[in-house]
Amino acid sequence: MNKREKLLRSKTYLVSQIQLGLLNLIGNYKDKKKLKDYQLANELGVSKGYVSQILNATYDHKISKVVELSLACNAVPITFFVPLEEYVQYDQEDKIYQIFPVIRPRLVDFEAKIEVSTEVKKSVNIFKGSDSVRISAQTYQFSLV
Amino acid sequence: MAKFGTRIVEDIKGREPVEELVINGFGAFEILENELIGSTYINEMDSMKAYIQHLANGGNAGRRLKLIKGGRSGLTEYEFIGSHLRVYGIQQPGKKLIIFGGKKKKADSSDNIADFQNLLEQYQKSL
Repeated sequence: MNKREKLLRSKTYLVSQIQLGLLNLIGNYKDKKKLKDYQLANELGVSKGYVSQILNATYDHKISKVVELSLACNAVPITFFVPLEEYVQYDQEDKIYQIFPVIRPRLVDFEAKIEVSTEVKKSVNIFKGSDSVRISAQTYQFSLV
Repeated sequence: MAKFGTRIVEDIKGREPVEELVINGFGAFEILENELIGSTYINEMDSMKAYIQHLANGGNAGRRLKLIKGGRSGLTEYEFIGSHLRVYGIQQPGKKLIIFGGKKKKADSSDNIADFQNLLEQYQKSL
């Protein structure tokens, strides 16, 4: 295990990353609005000590508070859980995770067309896919009596 | 006279490369890590690396970063502030260079800053 891999698996490092993410959000909000600590505390509805913890990146509290603070800064926290091995592998290839919106996949858009025929065996096409794009097609053999 | 060099810190991957000063074959991080072996502060090194990486990615490091004023090097000098550790570095064109790391002193970190600036001066003379 190399040094970088060891760092990526470290709890302290991962906690710091989340704390720094929140610090980035709140810090930039504070700078943008040119607020003082107590003004920011009033705006977010928390104590001065709480703001201090965030700006010092020592914040380690409830998830509900993170959501509340993010919403107060007009942001939405999105959490992903990715397999550790994959994360380490991508990092070695200098690949990073970025969020980009995609069209929400629907459950199953099932469509079957069966031609009524007297023949014993018929080929039926079944398509599975999302709203507009049909992503896979499989052919099954049906026996019609 | 100490021999100086620089090398990339492999643990830290940011938008901007981060290098460390190598003094007589030992990197600045290596020296600090060796100093911390067996102490409870060793885990804090990972946090320090996260702060440096965050800054190298153009993030807002808030109160974890302090610009040192009054340096004679003519360069931007940084102090990364951990709970118990301090790491000092400078900004060079397109990269950050970590010069020195140490433990937090009880009263303030002025001793660390003096050591850092001394080391930086020696390095600049060696160029």
